[in-house]
Parts: sequence; C-alpha cells; structure tokens
Amino acid sequence: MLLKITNLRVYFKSADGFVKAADGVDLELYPGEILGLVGETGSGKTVLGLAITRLLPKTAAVSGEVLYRGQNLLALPEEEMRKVRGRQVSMIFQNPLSSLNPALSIGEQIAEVLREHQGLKRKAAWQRAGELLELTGIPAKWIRSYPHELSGGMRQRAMIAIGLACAPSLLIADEPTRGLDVTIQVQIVELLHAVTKGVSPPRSMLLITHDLGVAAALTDRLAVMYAGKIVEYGRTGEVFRNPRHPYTRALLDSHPSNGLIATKGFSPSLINLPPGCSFHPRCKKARKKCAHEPPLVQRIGMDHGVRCFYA
Amino acid sequence: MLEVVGIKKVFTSGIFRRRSIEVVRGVSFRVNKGQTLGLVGESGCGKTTVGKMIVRLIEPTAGRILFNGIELTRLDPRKLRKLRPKIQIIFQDPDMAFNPRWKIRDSLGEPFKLNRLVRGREIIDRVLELIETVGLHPEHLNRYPFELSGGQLQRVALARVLALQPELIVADEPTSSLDVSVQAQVLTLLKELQRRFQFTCVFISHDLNVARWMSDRIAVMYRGKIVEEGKTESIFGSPCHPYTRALLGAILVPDPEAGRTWRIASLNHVSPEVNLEKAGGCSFQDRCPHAEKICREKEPPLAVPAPDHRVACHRFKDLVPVQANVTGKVCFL
Repeated sequence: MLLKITNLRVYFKSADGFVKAADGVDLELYPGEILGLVGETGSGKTVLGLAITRLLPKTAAVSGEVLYRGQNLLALPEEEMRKVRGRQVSMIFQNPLSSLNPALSIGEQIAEVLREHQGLKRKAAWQRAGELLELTGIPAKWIRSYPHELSGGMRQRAMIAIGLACAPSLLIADEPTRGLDVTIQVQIVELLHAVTKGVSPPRSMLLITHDLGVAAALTDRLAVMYAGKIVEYGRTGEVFRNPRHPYTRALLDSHPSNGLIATKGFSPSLINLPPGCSFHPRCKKARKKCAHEPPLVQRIGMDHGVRCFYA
Repeated sequence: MLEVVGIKKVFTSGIFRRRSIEVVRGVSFRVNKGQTLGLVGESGCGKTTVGKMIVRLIEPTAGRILFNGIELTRLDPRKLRKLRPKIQIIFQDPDMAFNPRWKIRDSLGEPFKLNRLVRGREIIDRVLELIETVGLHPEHLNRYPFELSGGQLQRVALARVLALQPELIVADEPTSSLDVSVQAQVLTLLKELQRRFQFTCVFISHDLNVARWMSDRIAVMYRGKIVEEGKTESIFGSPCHPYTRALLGAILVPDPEAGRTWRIASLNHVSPEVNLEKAGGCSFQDRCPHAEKICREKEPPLAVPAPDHRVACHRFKDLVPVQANVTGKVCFL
C-alpha cells in the first residue's frame, strides 16, 4: 500500500466554533492506482489533499495518521517533509492563474523546483524544464512565456509540468479540469492518463474533482465525500453501476448527462453539522434514526463501503 | 421576438487603433417568444460578445438586432433606457456581479429604485417575494454577498433580473463556476421561472450537454461564426459539422465503460500561429480531421442538411452517420 490514511481529522478554529473540514477520514491508495475523491465545494476534499502534503496553515488542528510507504507524514519533522514533497508526493493545485507566480516565466518556475529538490545546475534545470513542457504538450519554445500569456488549458499543462518535475510516485491533482472548456478538459484528462497509467511503473494519483465524468474517465477507485466524511467508497465501475449511498445517487442524477435532476437543499456548513447523518435533511430515504445516530461505514461487498443505515 | 441579423464586432487596439481583430464575424439567428436558444462554443469564440451586444453593453460594428420588431441598434438613448428593463443579462461569476459592501436586500431593491417602479414599503414586499421565488430564505436578505455560496448568489442574481419582469434574458454561462449538483438546482430553477414568467432566453454555454437541457434550439459558434444551428433534437440526433461532433464527443459521461471513448474524440491541436484571415477558407480547417483542398480555398456556405437545420461545412455529406455504441452512449469521429 502506498498511502493509508486513518481517522484523519482537520479542524479549524473560528469565531463561531470548530470548522470540521475532515472528520475521521479513512482512505487507502495502492501503487499505480488512481483514486478519485469526489464531492462538492466545501466538502473538505482540498483540505484532505493539503493535509497529506502538510501544506495546511498552522491554525489547523490535525490528528490521525497519514502513512506514506509506512512512514507517518504527520509526525515527520519539517526538514524531512520537504524532501517528501516534490520528490515523493507532489500536488497540482487548482486555479493555475492564482497558483503560478505571475512574475516568473513558466520555464523559471519549473527550473526552480528542479534546482531546489534535485540539485540540478542552472543550465541542466532549464533544459529539463523544456523537456517537461514538451512532455505536457507545450511547445518548448514557449519556455519564456509568463502565465498571463497562456490560455487556461496551457496554464494547467504548465502546472502539471511543475508537479511532474521531480518524478513523484504520488500525484495529488486538485480539480485539474475546473473552469476549462469541454474540449480542453478532454485533453487534460488524456494528459493526466498519460503521465500516470502511461509511464512504467504506473504512477499513483489522488484525483480531487467534483465532476463525475472526469472521475469516470480516469479513476480505478472512488471515494465520495460529504461534509467532511467519506460516505461511500469502492471500485469506480461498482460505485457508478450500483451506488448505495443516497448522496452518491443524487450526485450522479445531477450530472447533465443523466438528466440534471436536482437534490433539494444546500450542503451544510461545516461549523454547524446536522446531528446524526449529515445528509439526512436532504435525503429522500431518511428515517427517524438518521436524525439522531451518526451512521458508521458498513462493508457491503469486496472493497465497497457505505456510510448509511439503509443502503 | 429576438432577431439578430449579420452582427459583427471588430475590436481595435494599439495607439492608432491599427491592430484590429474581428471577434464576431456575421452572426444571424432568431429566437421565438418564450423559447430558449443555446449559444455554444469554446472560450474565445465570441459567444459572450454576442450576448453583450444583444443587451447593448457592447455596440455592434455592423448588423441589426431586432427585439419585438424594434431595432435596438438604432434606438436613441432615451428610448433604449425605457426598453432596458425588458432585456436583462446574468453573468458567469456571481461573486463579481454584486457590490460586496451592500447587503443582499440593497442589491435586490436597487432595480426598483433605479427604474422608479415602486417605492418605500412596497420595495420590501417585492424583495421578500423575489427571494422566495428563487428558493431562498428571507434571512438571506440581511447577509453580504461573501456570506452566500456561489449557488445561492446565482439565485440572488436571478431574483434581481426577475425584478424587472424582463421579456428577454441573456444567461452567460450562469452555472460554469458551480458544482454539478448546484448547477442542477440553478438550471432547474431557471427553467421553472421561464415556464412561469414566459421570458425568452439566450443561454450561453461551453457545454453542449448543459445547453441541451435548457434549449429548444442550439447554435454552435466557432471563431466568431455560427457553424451549425438547428433544433436541439436534430443537433444531438444528427450533428453535421465536425466541430459539433467533436464537442459532443468531448462530453465526459459519468459512466466508466463509456468514459474511455474520449481518446478518439479529441481534436487536432490548435496552432495559434495560423492566421485565418490571410489563409482563407473554412475557419475550422486547421483542427478538422476531414479537411480537404476545398476547405482551405473556399469558405463553406450555409447548407440545409435537413429541414430547419443549417450547417457551414463543405464535407458534411461525406461524414459517417453518428452511431450509438454498446452502452447506448453516442460516439463520434
């Protein structure tokens, strides 16, 4: 197992109480596998990615275990963690325009990573940066362009090039297709497929997305997150064919390809979660019990689990 | 109801305005009363510019826009001001559409004050009515924009537009910044409101799949021109333009078995260096897998492949008919 997350909690303190961004998350990721983490904005997916790479602000209270190759990343000294970041685990952030440095050319930004983590000399780093750009589908002659000169799709490619710079074994991609045109989305999906499944040995990826179409195209396994908790996990085909949690079903139904069927209500505030099951106020199947008792994860098949009493 | 005839827009830049770029290159369509036209294309194809020209936030360089038979493009400012409440626009990013220092109640009351429709106590009643129409709670009125989620804000944007009882709404990618589940809510609401208030709608989107649910007719735009236009069923049932087919093929279906067809569907890479104005011919030639000599030489005329369906392609007759694959999902190219 490459990554094993056990009972991960991330709380932020705010004036109104604790924001429970991740509330007891368990996840497993095997070598060469693409795991999809799907859920809505504010369900805690990004926080989970940041917790793994330990890039959360200091105000976050983190507990639990993040085992990467048997080593607990949460207990690692900062010095050691810096070595893991980039070389072992690397993150592709969402919104390239605000994540890239507007004052540096994309070439310099890739070369910087290479000099920092791999100790390459200036010239070698620059050359490697050009190769990485080519690899992600940006002509190497654009190496001196600045982020604002690139289109949204090209910027996302540059982000992926930075993420790949040190050939990490685990890639965490946070909403890599958000805000892109459908045609460009397909190209990015293809690129992500090529840099994970297309290399040998295959690289693992944690794909954070709200788009079930993207998840269906790329992932081997899926974890559905709602209000800081994993509510369903399983093999991608199994979850899509046989969704057992009412929220997973609602998410599938709301996709434009499946008829755009809306679920009533809003996702809850992470400060003030409903008692019992967090989804019960929006759930069609909710009964009395759901409002009082928080459901635990039930295993309903080989590698398929669901957090619902009536699954 | 709404008729757009050959509108063009040329943007100029540089000190002497010598550099110019034609963003919209002659677009015509009509939308019947109470119906929705989906205007679909990638970013940069000019669809937003068309939307802004309809509400006259941008002046067209050439062409005519007729609204209930009145030519908007020639209207004098005073008459236009009278007509403005009837023609409204919803923008893509609800965060930028509101004054961050105003409470929601102030933003919602503003259209009434500006147009002197109602005053005083009555404004509050109308605002309360509006907020409930879009499925929000009266307590939301006392919040600031940053306290609401994207989906909630877009509902407020809808409410503000409805305040003036418009006859035409231009919705410019109203859900592209929202999550799928919230998108479903907002679009369902928009459809419901349209049924109730009978407004005409121009729905701008980059996602054919979304436009499908909203539109009676669909017009596909590419580099400033409409390349295909027809009833939604015929665009989806028998798409004729290679670009429309590519857009349809780019839809990522939430079905792992069908998902793998995306490999074949992706287009040739765009090379931004190609200057189409100089090159001549079809504007899609450099990305089209079916391009031939004629496509590089002559601009394709509008053909009529079926009744009430238009396409601008030399080779549409030679393309293989669309077929459904095993999973029942359609695949192309």
